[in-house]
Amino acid sequence: MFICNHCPFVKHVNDEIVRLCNDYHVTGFGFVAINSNDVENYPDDSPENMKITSEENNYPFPYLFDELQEIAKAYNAACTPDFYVFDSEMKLVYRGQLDNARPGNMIQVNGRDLREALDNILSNSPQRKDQKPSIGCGIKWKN
Amino acid sequence: MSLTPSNMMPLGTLAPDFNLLDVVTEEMVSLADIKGEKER
Repeated sequence: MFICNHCPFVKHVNDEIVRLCNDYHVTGFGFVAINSNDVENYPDDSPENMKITSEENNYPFPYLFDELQEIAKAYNAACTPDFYVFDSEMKLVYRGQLDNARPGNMIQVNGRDLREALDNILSNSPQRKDQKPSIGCGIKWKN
Repeated sequence: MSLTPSNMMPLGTLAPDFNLLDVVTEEMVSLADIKGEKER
């Protein structure tokens, strides 16, 4: 997943991301979070603040700094948060939103879409075709 | 605040490799390091 420290769309789902990763790590999935934002213009997303964010939220996954923004480009990441699920052959089977909740829309953050994608892998079931994009703060690209 | 949607990378795309700094442990972490364990 691509996240950052300061974006309200990430803050809105931090607790659920942690719950979800803890729930599914035991079933054999690996998780990683990457911050690719330009930290010169957005110092809130600096590595020092990433460490604070990770510790404050008890992130159970590595939080990596994509300083050159090459990995965000390789994954065609657009926003934070942006989610990707790869199967055991490392092929993309799900991408897009965590669930339908957004800051202010009063829908409970429950990780439904991402949890469903992981459950489908565990049960060898087909993934849904109508995957919905995540929406959030645009990744802060360097000029 | 402008809102940005996912680009929705094509399904079936192979996960691009990476090797990046973990800001907490200060160690490099690659795709292979975080790949899940398939026991089935």
